[in-house]
Amino acid sequence: MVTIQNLSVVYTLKAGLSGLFKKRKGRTVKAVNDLSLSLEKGEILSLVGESGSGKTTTGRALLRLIKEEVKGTIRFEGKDVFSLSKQELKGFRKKAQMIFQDPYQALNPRNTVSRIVGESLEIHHPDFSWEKKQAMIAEALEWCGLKPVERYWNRYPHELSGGQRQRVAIAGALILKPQLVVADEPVSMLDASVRLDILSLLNGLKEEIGVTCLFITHDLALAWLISNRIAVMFAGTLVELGSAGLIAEGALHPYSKALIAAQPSATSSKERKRVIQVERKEDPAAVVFCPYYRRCMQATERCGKELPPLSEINPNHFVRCFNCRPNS
Amino acid sequence: MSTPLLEVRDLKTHFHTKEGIAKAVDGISFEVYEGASFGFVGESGCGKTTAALSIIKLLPENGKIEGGQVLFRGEDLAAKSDEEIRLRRWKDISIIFQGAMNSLNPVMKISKQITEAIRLHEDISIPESRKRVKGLFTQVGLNPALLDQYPHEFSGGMKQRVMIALALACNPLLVIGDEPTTALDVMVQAQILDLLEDLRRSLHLATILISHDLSVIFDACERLAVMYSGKIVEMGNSREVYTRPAHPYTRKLVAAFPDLELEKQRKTGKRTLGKSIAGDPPNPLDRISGCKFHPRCEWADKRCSEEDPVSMEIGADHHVFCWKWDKIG
Repeated sequence: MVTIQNLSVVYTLKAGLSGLFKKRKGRTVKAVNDLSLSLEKGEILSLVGESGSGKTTTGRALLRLIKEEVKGTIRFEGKDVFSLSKQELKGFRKKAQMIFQDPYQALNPRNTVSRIVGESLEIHHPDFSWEKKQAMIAEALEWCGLKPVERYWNRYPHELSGGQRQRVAIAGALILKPQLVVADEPVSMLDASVRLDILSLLNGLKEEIGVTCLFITHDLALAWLISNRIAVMFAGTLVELGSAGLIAEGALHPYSKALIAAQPSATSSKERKRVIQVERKEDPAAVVFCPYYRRCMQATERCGKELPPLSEINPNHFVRCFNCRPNS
Repeated sequence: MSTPLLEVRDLKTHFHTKEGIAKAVDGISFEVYEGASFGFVGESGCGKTTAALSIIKLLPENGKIEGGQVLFRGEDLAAKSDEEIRLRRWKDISIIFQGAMNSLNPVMKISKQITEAIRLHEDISIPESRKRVKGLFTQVGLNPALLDQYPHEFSGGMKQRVMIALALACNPLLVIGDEPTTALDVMVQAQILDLLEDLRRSLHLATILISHDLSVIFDACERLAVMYSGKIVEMGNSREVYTRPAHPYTRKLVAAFPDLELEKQRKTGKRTLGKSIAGDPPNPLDRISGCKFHPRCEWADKRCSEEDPVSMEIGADHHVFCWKWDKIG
């Protein structure tokens, strides 16, 4: 349904005051580097990685929400997202939606719940009758568990709890029945007891409406709980891809393993697996090398000179590492 | 585990607001042993931060300790004047604040910020205090060459290490960490937790960690207290509480953390999305009779809504405040 091919996004940092005098160009940061990934219809794929690994940039690029120049192609239902005409883009916006991390900032504080949820109807279906719009808003609120609808209809965001706000944000994203949803850390700001509600809501919507979802999170265990497949990113590069169970239980890439070891654990605190931090400088002459070379415990000389390919080590299990062996 | 370093008895801290009195901490008792780690866990608004801040009387204007004792090596801190507490604060008990990123002065060199804190409490010269800061930097895994930099030159994890160095500056016996890893990345969180554990062992420090993240508390603390609406609902040895959670709230909270579930379910290979806790957390201004959790508890009966549950010892160092704990399957 969605195919990302060789996506690269480069941010140029402002040169700052000294750059103004020295005519220096701003530094560039490769947020996403040659990423290829595809999403099947009706699946939840999680993008996992630490902050700065490029997961949010990938999600935003997927929805054409970034201004930076993008290399590579993103195809949605066969069409390149970045060369859509204005008319086509409007149609795309209807089908692809985003759920943001912070429900406290994503909602306009001066609008009522019904207006927030119905906003996209005003843009995409201004011709619908008010009765029809009302029915659609009510339906979206009900989907998201905001029942009875009348209780929430005229409320303002400040009158709602964090979990309820996130539900409103999700209702707003789902009212047009999109086919693709990018959810950027949708539960990381919520208390534990409401977190599960939002997750099962997303899971239920996947089954009911058949939404395809790109779920962005830093929490590997959370990804395991909700998704069909997990993609692990490090420094803008995809390092491992496979089914959720496979990654959570049999991750092969050293970075994925470190991510799992970094999870707090109730049972192994006494002999905690330390997240060993190796600091290694790459060869300044090397042009390409494994992005994890600096921090990898298993790195060999070859890792500092070549970029390992993303290879299918086990069936449907892709790893970007020279030193990984298939599971027996 | 020998003598308790800190013994809190029936502590009550209330906030006086325009809408009424909020009983943020409503009669809690716990003890922290020398060189041991203790954790407070609960959702936002359950009173865990207030409980810890009450120990050193670092409360907002409208907050007041209404009753109870805070015995630190036998001395009641709750009965002391603010000035007496101020002198004791950094020397005996120090704190690592929530949001360390914003707790440092952006226009002051790191070295100055720490030496200032030391010289406020101890009569030593500037070169001597600088020497101590250098030692502190090494202890928390920072390069002493970075001493004279400004906070913006540090990453989030490094700033958190500075905050830990600052907390250790006057050789305290007890360090309180208020959500010390909350704003940090998973990898950095693991490093900071490891560092705190190392320091606790090498310096024989007692620590109180506060977190909303049950898995962090299970990981980092030997003993813990689960709080709900100003009360402790379950307390004891972490391993014991993890393997046999007794209070309905604790049980449901454990299920809400995917990393804990992953550990359990990894063995069985199952993957189930648990149910969240029905209902909303209570408003601290509301008066709830009996067990505070009873409106959201599916096992609650008449007694739960009328009588405050008392502490019941259900194992070695394992206490639960619930009338029905043994009736739940």
